[in-house]
Amino acid sequence: MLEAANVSVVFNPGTALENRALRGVSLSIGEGEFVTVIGTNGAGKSTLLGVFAGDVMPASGSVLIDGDDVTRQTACRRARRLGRVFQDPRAGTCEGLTILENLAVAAQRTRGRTLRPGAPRDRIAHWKERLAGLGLGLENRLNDRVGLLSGGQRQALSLLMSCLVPNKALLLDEHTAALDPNAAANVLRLTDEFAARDKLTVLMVTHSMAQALAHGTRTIMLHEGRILFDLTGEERRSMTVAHLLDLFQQIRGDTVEDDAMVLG
Amino acid sequence: MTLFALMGAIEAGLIFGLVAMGVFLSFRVLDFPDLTVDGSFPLGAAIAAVSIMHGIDPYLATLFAAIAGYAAGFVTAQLNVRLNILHLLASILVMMALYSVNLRIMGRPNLPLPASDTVFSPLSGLPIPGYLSMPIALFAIVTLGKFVLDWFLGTEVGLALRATGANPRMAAAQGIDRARMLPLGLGISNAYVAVAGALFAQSQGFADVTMGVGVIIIGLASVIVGETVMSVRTIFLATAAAIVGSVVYRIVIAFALNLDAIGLRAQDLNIVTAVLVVAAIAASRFRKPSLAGLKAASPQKQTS
Repeated sequence: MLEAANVSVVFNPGTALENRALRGVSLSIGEGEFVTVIGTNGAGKSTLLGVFAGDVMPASGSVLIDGDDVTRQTACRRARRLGRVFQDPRAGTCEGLTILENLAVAAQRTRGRTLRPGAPRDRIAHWKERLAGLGLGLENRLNDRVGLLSGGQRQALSLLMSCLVPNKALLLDEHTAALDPNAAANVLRLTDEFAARDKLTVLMVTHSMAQALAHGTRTIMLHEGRILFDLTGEERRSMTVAHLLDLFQQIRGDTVEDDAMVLG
Repeated sequence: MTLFALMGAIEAGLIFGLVAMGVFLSFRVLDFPDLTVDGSFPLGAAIAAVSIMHGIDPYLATLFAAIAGYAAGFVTAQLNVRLNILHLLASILVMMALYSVNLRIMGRPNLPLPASDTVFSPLSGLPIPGYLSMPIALFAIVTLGKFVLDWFLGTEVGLALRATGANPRMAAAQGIDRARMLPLGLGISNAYVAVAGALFAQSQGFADVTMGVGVIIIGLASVIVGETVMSVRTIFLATAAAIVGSVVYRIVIAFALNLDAIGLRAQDLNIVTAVLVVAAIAASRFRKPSLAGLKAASPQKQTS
């Protein structure tokens, strides 16, 4: 479904600030897989997500969605097949538009936009139903501007907007990092619910190892632009945060020494 | 002020209501400070005047003006999205180029229009005086323009346009291509302005290359005055506010310039307008932050 083949990303190439954010990452995510991505700051988590979303152009390697090479496709073109939720709750919704108008924009993501009314009556009922599913009472506030909502409400709405129409895959960029614990728990619950109901392929970047293990079907850890390990199945089920930290330190220790030797 | 002068102010206010709606679309909806209007207003006037001179039906001539205005806005947007030229600079470049274009179209700086052959000439057959029939006819035209804009901004494309201006990141994530939305939005914005220019030329009986000077500020002043005098929570209210603002602005200016006590004269129009815009933006500091887009970021705005 989602595939990165030997992708390298270099920021500010040829300058003093040159930063090799990804170093030949290959990752293949099958249909219906829910992959969580962890890693330290600067490990390349968000860059990896950006490569799939189309925000970041790889220096080399290719990106495939559903078997099609989309390496040179713009983010808005890829958005026809990918749903996205950003870390900043303000980024995924339009605060000057009402809840209804935001949903109307999201409803046309995969289709061409025409001069038909954006929010026709017959579709509002369906949207209200979906809003009610968020459990936040937003279905009664259709004509409220999104700017009036709390961060947690906005993020839940962002998530709904990203799943309102069928997706090939859903990309979540630390989408609960900016929320308070209650709101974060609610958004994560909804994420699991949507993923299960629509059998979504999900790539979720997170800052929390516990979260990475508690959600999804597969966990990968990035470090210094490489995939450090890739856990699935039984191995992942028996993993705890403490184990994960041990594993991380163990492997990282080795690679750091390797790098040191190579780089002199 | 005489009734005649008041009606004249309302007439000009209504015509510039179209400019105000265009400016609302670019500055507010698209968050694109587009100065092209200083060129597209006389462009509309020039196209209409020359077309009418060549015996073309005045309604068709006004439609030509709209198409030319659309093209002007389209070019500005393309300079910005394709060549990555700063929005202000792109619009100033087109505005400047249009000055030459307008001279070429008219062949000379000033072109008189026969009063017998304009979109307003049927009004002279009516049994009501011109100073009443003109504002009524213009009110109908501007109201039509408002409803068309309201309708458009509620369609799938219109909503995408609004999302592009309000949150480009969200728009891209929702599959909206700014490179396609911006030319459309600025095109429509400048089409409105060009129609205003065409109507202005037909109501005044001439087109002049310099008639565009300061149109952007008048449009902006109208939008700001509108936002000051009424709520702009919905698109319906916001477009209405642009028109109301334009009329209020004209009446206020007419009063200010007519009051001998203040000592202002007609030549003071531009400085009065400039002071009005500055005062309205400064006043917005103490109100809800709806005018945030026109102020430099202030430190207290960073907190969130």
